[in-house]
Amino acid sequence: MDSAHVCLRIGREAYAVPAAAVIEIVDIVRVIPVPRAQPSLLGITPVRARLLPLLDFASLLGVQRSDSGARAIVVKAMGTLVAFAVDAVTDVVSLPGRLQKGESDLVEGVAIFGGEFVGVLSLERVLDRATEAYSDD
Amino acid sequence: MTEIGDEFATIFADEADERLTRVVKVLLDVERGRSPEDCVEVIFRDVHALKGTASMVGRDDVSRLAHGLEDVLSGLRPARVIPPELVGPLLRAADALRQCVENPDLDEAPPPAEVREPTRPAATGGAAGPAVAHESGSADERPNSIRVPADKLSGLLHLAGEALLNQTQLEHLLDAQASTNDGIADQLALGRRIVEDFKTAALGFRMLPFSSITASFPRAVRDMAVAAGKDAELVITGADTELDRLTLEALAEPITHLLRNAIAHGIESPETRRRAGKPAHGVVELRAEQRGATVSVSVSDDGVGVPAQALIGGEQGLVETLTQPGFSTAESVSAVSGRGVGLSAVRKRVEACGGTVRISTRPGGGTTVELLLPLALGLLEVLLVERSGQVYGFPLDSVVEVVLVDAPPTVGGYPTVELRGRPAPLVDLADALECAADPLAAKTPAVVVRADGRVGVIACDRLLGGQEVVVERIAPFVTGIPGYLGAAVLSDGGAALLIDPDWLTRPRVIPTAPADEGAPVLRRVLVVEDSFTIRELQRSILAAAGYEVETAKDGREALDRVSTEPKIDIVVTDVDMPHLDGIGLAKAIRATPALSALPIVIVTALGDDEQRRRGLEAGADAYIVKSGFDQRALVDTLESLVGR
Repeated sequence: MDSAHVCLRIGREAYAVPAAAVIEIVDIVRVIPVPRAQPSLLGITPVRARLLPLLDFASLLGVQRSDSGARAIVVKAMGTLVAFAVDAVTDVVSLPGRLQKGESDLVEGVAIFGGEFVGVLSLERVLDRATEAYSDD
Repeated sequence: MTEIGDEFATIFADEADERLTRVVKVLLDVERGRSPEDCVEVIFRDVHALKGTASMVGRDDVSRLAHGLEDVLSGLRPARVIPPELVGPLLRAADALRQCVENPDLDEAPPPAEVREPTRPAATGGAAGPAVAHESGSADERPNSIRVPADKLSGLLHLAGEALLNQTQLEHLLDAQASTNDGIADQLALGRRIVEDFKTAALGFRMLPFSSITASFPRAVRDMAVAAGKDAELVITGADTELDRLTLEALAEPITHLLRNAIAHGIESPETRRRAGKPAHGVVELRAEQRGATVSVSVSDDGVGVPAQALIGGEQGLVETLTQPGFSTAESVSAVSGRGVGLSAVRKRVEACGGTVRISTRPGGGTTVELLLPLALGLLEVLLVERSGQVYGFPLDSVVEVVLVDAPPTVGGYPTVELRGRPAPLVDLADALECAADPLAAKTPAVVVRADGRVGVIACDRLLGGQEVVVERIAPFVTGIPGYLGAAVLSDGGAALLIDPDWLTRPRVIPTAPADEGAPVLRRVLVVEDSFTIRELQRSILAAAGYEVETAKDGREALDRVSTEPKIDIVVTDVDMPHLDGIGLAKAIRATPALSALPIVIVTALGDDEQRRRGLEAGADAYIVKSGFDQRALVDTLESLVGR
């Protein structure tokens, strides 16, 4: 069955996340770098009066991100909010429920939409990957 | 029993809890000989009011039970005294009442026999009915508290933060108009006051006093002591300390374990204490305080302490030993101790919150277990500095002073400043954080930061001043990186990364100086070396790394020294020495039971594999090659052995 997804552009590739998981979509106004952070942490970014960690989908997925991206999606995770940087948020669409198997283990599957392959991300696995380096602290 | 709505059930339960807690407290005071003059009246009032409220909400079961207790208390009112032997039964009666309140569906049980028939004959005169002043203030004394989900309160706090940010921007935008228009200026000033009060109030919802989890502890300690045949009392210090609600919730269980341990393994029986020249009455102290960005909660007892053998590995060794699952210092397992598993669970819980456990003890004198937790949320006073365009903050508690440094001389390759007559290395904040930055100007401000007995002098580009900020931990992405306490939103919408002074002044990170003569000594190293020059070289390297250094000229002198107080934590020894060489020293140390775990590093000549092999066989833990003295290697080896 079809369900609503937010479509993202990361580098030259198209991805999507379930719309229900996205709290908001924001412009990245400012990124405060955190020295000695993991490569997947771009820094912290103020979103209204809160400070959110800004994670890099591209780094976690192993794809190239273009430098122009200045948007982020905010999702709820681990009892708090986490922001992910993307190059663009293109649309909110209904993706077919049946997905083909994708290559990356961070992807639930691949849908074909609008003439291209869209990787449907598993936010849970993405977050696991992002936090696994901290697990021994 | 009539049906009552959920809302009233909760209100009633809260009121009952408050009243019964008060009753128990007074009874404990009576038992300790500290009863207030009107103790009977105070207890009577609470029981009487509880009876009234219970009827009102249709809890006839509670009302009947309270009535029974009220009768007993009436009998005591004329004499205005509660005899000590009645305290136990009265405490049990209060328990029964509490049970009844909490379990409305239980079959009605008659009040405990002890309550119905007091062990002491009631005074006859006046028992017929002293004028009962009806303290029917129950309506006025009704507790007015409600339960709210924690994340709703977080949401409120963030909203307050947004309002504050908005206010600041308004002030900037209207700056010009405000200077010529009093009306605008007044409204802006009012707006700021309102918004700041709002933030303080919102923060207040997340913070609770320590006393909010400690109410039941004095009673619990008393009961555990009685069960174990001991005489012990709980004293609470810092009950007013405000802590974040989540931290408090995480602490309740660990504290209970620690109290249990203090009674089971700490406090001795009254006879044992008297024989040791101590008062028969033992004291357990529960203390809470906030130190900068850390909350310290400790449980101390004046009991038997931990046997000396367990102290060989130093403080860290003690923590490791005592927190092994299943460890118990008692021969047999009692109902109270639960085999020492408590300490292991405490440590896990505390470390899961990003905290640490510290234990200190004096054999025969008592033990203190300290839980150090990072502030989950809260206000922190910080000193903000700027380095390479980024803002960083240090907890103000850890800042000793601020100095202006002008073209400092270098000593041993490090720019050095003079701090109260002693040299201290100057460190670039960018270097400490390992981030690229433009070089510092010749004249720079520097912050003198102190933590754990060491001091660091940290240079930056600009000082931005002190500020009270709300700490956002941002776990694990920021707090999972060693060195950061979290981040804080600044009034211009930017953020400051908050640095952990403990991490910053660790010997591995930057060279630091010992803080002052009176600072507590962390680790004591004994350097054993017959060459004066090499001995002094090693001494200066190790002292700069934060150790307290003592020296010995040969193995025999060294062996004498390690067998006396104050305790040596680690030995660094050359091999070739007169009287007793390094190999002999290592063998002798290992052969001494009390010293068998003392870490030993041997310093061998380059290329001498034979020396190295013999040293390790003799029981050394590690070796360092002598030539081309690499100070890093020496310090690193010691660090890994002393287990920092």
